[in-house]
Amino acid sequence: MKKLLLTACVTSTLFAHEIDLDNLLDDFANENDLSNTTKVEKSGTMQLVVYTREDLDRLHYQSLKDILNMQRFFTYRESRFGLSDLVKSEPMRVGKAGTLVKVYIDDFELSTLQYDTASHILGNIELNFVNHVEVYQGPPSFEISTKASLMVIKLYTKNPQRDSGNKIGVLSDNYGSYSTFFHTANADDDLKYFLYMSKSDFQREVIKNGDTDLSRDEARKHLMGTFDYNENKIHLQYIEKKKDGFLTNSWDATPTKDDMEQSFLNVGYKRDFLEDKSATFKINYTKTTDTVDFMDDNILPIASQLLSLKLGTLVGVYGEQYKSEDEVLSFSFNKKIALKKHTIFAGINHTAKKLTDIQNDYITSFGNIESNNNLTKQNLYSIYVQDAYKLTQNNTLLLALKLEKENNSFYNNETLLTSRMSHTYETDNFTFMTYYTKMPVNKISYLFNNKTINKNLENEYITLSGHETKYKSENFDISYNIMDFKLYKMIYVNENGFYNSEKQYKIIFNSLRYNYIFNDKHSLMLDLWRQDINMQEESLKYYTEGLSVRFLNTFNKITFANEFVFLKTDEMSIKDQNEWQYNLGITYKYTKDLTFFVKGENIFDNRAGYQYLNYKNESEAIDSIEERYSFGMEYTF
Amino acid sequence: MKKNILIFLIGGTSLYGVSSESKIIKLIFTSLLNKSEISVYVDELPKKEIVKEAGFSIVNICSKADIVYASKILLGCEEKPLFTDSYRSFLNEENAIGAFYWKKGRPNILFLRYRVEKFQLHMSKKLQKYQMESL
Repeated sequence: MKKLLLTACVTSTLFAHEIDLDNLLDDFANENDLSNTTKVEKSGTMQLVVYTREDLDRLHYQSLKDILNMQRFFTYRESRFGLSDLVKSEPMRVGKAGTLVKVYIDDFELSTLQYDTASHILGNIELNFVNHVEVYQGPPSFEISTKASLMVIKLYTKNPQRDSGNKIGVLSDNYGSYSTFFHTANADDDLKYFLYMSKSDFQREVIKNGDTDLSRDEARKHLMGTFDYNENKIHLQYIEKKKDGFLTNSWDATPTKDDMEQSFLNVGYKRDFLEDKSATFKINYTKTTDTVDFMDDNILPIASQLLSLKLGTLVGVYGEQYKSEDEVLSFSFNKKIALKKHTIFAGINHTAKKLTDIQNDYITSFGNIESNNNLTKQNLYSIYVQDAYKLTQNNTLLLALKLEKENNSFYNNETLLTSRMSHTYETDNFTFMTYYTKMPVNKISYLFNNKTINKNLENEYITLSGHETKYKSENFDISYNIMDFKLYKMIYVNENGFYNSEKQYKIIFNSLRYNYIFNDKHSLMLDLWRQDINMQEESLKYYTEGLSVRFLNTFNKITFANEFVFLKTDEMSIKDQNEWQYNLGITYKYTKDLTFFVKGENIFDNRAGYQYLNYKNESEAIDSIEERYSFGMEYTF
Repeated sequence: MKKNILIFLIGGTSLYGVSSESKIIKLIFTSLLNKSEISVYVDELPKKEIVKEAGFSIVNICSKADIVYASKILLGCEEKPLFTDSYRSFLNEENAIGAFYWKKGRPNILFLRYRVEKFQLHMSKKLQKYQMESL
């Protein structure tokens, strides 16, 4: 009996942590955060960064911009329209970065015919409605996306069950911005719902260009709802933005009028079938409305050239007014089949895209001249299958094929084949993954907005091959990644219109990532990377190197998030070869329900900024990440 | 005393290698019922897997169960203690002795003392922290 009691005492000491319910509840919350990561990693995608709910709470990221800013290779830039990293961007300067960045919310792809993505609208979206974020760089498995992409961002909304109750939050900053949100959720009935609404007025630094004020201010309303009824899920979202157009397309960066409005509607329906939920049917609809009213005191040379060519006489273009509606409707059915050694994922998809020009006028010396977009309709019919075949206990071979029929208005129809293969060797600690993929890029209408181009333009396509080695132990993981990116048939524009380049656009990506978990309160992340870019068509070579470091430390009720970004480049559009950025976020959890936070972004103002075309003759640059100090509070009830 | 220690040892040592959710369920049910061999009646597949992982047996007839783990009271289970994952059921169902549920972004556990006593269940010291006297 004494021995038994002694054993009991020793055992109870040994297991004191494990059987404490408070600790178990913390572990349970963390496990739920990370469950998606584990699931996804198993399906053969390694280049994945997950921002769990706990990460987002402790980092207190305010928008997707904060996440993009810390991504290797991409960082965060804004176009001359003040939109997220779409037209002038790194690493792909000619609009491809935006196109090859796909955004999903709750596994519904948010796309447009103009750009094949909605990243230009969602790149700075607030994160108060988000439960967790997954960022994939490189070619994802078909379960993640079947689309041609360099980066896939997946946002997952808060779960009605997990977040039942109400939450309210307010935020302000040193520019006088304000943002407020409210969400409510209920999961006690058969109909489970999460409702979110926010209203924001983001003020930014006003840039002086002579007598012209360049502004990127943005007023935004955002509504979102998710509804779960048995196996049926409905997703609704509406965003409305009224913003200033920044430099616009003004040739000398002195617009006299720069009004922009965007609205974005998304309705999604998803239903899982079968007991194991291995079959999924989805309907997804998005409608994007863009309204632009730009005027300039000088002529816009490229527009003038193209219009003069079309009309056979010299035309001076002084502005642009357009309003367009971009609609995408898609249906898909996917099935996952687990056999003895095979895990098969297969599906079909039909996507119909439509662009309607309600108004598309150039303001010219001859009055308003209408311009029409040729690529106004596109139908995509695709069938895809992926097989992850377990060669041995540790070796998995993945083969994937997608066959797609692309039917376009005006332009030639195409049959496109996407292929992907990878080999993964995995032990408890090591993972080695080698992959190759070839992905045709769908035609997008912003490249096809002039009748002077030839209708036989071919689709661009990309190839990605690479390798990643990862080692993980209890407290840390380290991974090295090398990726070779090539873009073929790239569509360029010159004074005669658009053409397919016969030369390649090549990038070699190298990165080393290290995560160290000291304990559940303290962690370190290091990301060291380099990319070498060779734009053969423009005989241009340059490189960019970066280092991102993040320390996350929690002391009792206070969490400090220290972030440091260093960038070095010889790219001509970046003012200085060396630039760096320091962010500090402090979160104070006064109670479990009440949180206060302050955040300093780009403290010391050492980002180099971007030299926009003809802005002060490119002798000066403008920051996409300003020195900004924000503060706010959140309360759950 | 000896029985309690054995239950505790079996419960404690076999908690490794399973999910936290199963560990929580195992800890709560073994404490409440004061024994290690427990029969549970559940209302859906995910709960079935959690309960099985916790090392309990699943029964297909409610009358054979020691405890019910479900979102709401089920037909034929009116005489059995209900442990629920719904806060609303915890408030409304007279059989609901406790709940393990999400609210305001975090997991919560609650027990109602007089209902626990009604079914002559045992509230260990570890569980008393989550106990309410009344609604």
